[in-house]
Amino acid sequence: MTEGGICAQGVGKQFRRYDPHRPRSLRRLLTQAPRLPRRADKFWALQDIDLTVAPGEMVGVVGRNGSGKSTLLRLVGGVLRPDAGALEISGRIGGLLDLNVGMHEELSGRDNALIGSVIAGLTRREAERRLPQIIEFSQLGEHIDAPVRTYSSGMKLRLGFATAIHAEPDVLLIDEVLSVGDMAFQARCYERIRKLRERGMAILLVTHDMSQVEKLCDRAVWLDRGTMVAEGEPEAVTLEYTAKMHARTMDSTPTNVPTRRLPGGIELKAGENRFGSQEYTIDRLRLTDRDEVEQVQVRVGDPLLLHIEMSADSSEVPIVGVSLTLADDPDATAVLDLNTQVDEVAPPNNGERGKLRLEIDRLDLPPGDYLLSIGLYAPNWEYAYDFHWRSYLLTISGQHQVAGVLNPPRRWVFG
Amino acid sequence: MTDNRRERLHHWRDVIALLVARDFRGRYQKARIGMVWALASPLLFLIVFYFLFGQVLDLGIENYASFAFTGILVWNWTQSSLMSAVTSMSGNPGLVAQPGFPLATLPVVSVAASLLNLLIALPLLVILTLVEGIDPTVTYLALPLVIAVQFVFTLALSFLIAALNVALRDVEQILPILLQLGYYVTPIFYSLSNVPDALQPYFALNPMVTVITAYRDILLDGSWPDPLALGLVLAGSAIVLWLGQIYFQRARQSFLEEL
Repeated sequence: MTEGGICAQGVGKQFRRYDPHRPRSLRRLLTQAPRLPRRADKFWALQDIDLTVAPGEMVGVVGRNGSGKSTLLRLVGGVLRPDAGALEISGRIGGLLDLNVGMHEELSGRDNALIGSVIAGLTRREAERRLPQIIEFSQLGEHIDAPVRTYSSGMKLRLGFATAIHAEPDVLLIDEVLSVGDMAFQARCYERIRKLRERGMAILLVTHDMSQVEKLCDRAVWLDRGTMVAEGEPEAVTLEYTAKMHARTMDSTPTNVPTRRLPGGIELKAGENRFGSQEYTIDRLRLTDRDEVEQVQVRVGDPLLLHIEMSADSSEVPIVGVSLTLADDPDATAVLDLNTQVDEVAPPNNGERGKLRLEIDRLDLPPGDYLLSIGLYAPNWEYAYDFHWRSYLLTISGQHQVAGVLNPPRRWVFG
Repeated sequence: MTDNRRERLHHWRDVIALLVARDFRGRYQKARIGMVWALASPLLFLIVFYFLFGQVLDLGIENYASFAFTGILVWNWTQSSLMSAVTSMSGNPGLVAQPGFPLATLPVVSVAASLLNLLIALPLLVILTLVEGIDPTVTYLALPLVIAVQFVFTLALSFLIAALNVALRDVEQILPILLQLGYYVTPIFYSLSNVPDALQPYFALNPMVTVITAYRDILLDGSWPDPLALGLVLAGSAIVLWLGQIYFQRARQSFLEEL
């Protein structure tokens, strides 16, 4: 094999199942009646993995949380040893895993870049040689000599990313870190990755972002419960994966959720227009005007307020999504499609009940009947907690019947 | 492959040097008087002990200030090393999972960073012995050797407790208590001769007694330390170190399984 590549054949990794009787503290160890050591209960966290990543190639790994993606990265990274199969890595290996690993808040960005480079596998002399490039790439300017504790989280990530990517290993492992920074920084990261690949770097990317897999990777692998269920063209694999996740939402929808009638007259019924695991639920959605009077009808150009009440028995912070489609065409593209992830807001998760308000300043849409969908999703859009599909009727009233999607305020001026 | 190995050793050396510098500078960066803190704590202990056991309960130890200060500084090195080493794996999940990172450098970093405190205070200790009228002798040449023995001993324990803290998470809670008790059962502010004769053999089983005695032989008596006793501590430590790093690597695997 040429320098810089991954070759795995039949690789498997066994984990010990969590044993509730194993003493985890000295007190338990001393007070618990001594037992004969049992045969440890083991399971395969990863099994029969055949994967090659050639120099210059980039392969994406998709799969649910707990499907073995991290285990695969750790095996390839050499920090875990496989229990089965043969795994061959040639060249120096590096990771974009935890970007701020080893950083010290009191030290300057420059010092931390040096430390990070050495942690990433460079010698001090190599690290010092690359320091100017790292500083340039991070665009920290004069901040580079300020203590890292004064940095914003974005600046820290930029420093961490710049440091790790300039270590230039032969094999690079990336775990969910490509979405750091603003669009411009991301574009430069992509560009940098492209250049490194041209020089023969092999890259393994783990991500939940299907568009990254499609944009960046040559091939994709789908892991489920420790085995490879699909491998091939990125578009084909991500499509299959997305479809499966959608099916999972359907499968996890309980049938014993009581049906209720919503304002606007539509009945919300599990399995028909309500889907999701119900770990988190939308208990109430009120559509109001700016005076918080409940409305099913707003005038063109008037504001619309959505008051969302939800309850939870999950500790994850859900993504909230809202979309609007034409009432008489279920297949139509949404005229409005918003979510908290794209808008970069995190709904507070304060235990039992949460309230959230979405304020839309004006709805410049053609008059007519629309149906509003609202959903709460697991992090990374893995599946829906609670999704009310086209369940809330909203009528937009106005004087002129307009075709098309937009209905902006306007005037015709002759002259 | 020898080239590859040399490169690896070189990398190890750089990792250790930079992380020691990071810990050391990071620790004192914020404090205005900086490194003075490295001296403040042992000096405060010295003042209290000097008052208590030189004035209140006179233990009848010659040159008590130098005597106690030696014990305090030597014990502090091992104590602060262990306190920082105990979480060197469990407190650094990012480094544990970092491909290509030599994790075994972390306990070495803990011990080396704490050694700097000893080295900063050592000149002060020598001045103190001079003030008390002890003349420097050629036996000072044995100091690096004694420091090396204590290094290996402390490092061996560091690997062991860092790995143990992965399996039993309350080791880091219990360690400070054990170290505090160790402070009293080790002749730091008293002398082995203050201990009843019948109990002395048991006290001598404590490797820290051998180590502290060696420092005192050199700095206070101007005599060469006992090579046999030090050799035994070194041999025992080397064995524990070897077993400890094997256990450490295994603990890394089980730590990653739980991560």
